[in-house]
Amino acid sequence: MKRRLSPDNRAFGVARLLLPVLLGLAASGAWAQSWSALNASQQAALGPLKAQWSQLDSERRAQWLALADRFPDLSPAERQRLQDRMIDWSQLSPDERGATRLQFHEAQRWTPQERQDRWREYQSLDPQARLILAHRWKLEEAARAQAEAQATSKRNLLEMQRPTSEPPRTASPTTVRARSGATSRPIASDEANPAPQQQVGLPKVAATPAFVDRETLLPRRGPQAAGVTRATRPAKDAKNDKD
Amino acid sequence: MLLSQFSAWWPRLGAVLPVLVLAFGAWVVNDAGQREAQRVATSIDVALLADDLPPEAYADPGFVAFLKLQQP
Repeated sequence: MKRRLSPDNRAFGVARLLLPVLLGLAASGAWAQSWSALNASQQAALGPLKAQWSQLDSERRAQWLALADRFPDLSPAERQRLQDRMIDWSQLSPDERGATRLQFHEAQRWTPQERQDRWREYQSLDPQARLILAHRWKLEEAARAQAEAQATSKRNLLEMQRPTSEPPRTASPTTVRARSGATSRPIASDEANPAPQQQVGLPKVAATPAFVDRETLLPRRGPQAAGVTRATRPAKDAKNDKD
Repeated sequence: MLLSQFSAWWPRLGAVLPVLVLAFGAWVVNDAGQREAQRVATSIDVALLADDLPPEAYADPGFVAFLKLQQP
């Protein structure tokens, strides 16, 4: 006996058939433009990439097509240079391209003439000297990354406040703006003489069971207890403690 | 007939529509971010590949260190 499908079930069935097809097309990048689908100006601009166009993923194709749209704005010499470098550039990994873009962006602080002069000087250097420079750059990068990691990581030690060259600024009418991540302090507070429990080098929080009085939650011993006046307790409790 | 079908669909649409709107919104935000990133990357790529110096210069950490020895 043939079962009749309701309109709901039919719609659901069609959707169930279409969805994997659409997802598959999207994942495979089949919607990306093939070489023959490019217009004449795009093909002219991206000519050096014709042989490997089919191997590029949809994202890379979109990037190259965006680049081709800007091609007419370039001078003939720039177009030639760009086309000469296309294949090498397309063979770099995304990380290598990203690092090169970053260095290029930073190098814009120097004029084109300065960059060209420095590049000529650099090429005339001894290979050993170039290696030393590359090594130095890598060490500097590592030191910078380490300093950044230390600056952003939380530490349980009170640190010395380094004096800054910037004049103090107010965060509100009665508080002084602190460094990034620190709490603003009242204008009237004495920054030079911190509280006894806030000496440089001490842990910010020392909350092990031996340190903390379970009743009062105050420090029992150690340097942080020095600034805390112990609350007086009835004689009966003190007697129980001895027991 | 049509009205009865519509009234049967309406509660389901009410359940699915917010999810669809949310998914569409997430897609739009993600797409806008990707487009912006691509626009920036393209403008840098055009300048980099058409520059007087080859891309190898900027990929060479030794040259970058050498360039930074002399501040502009």
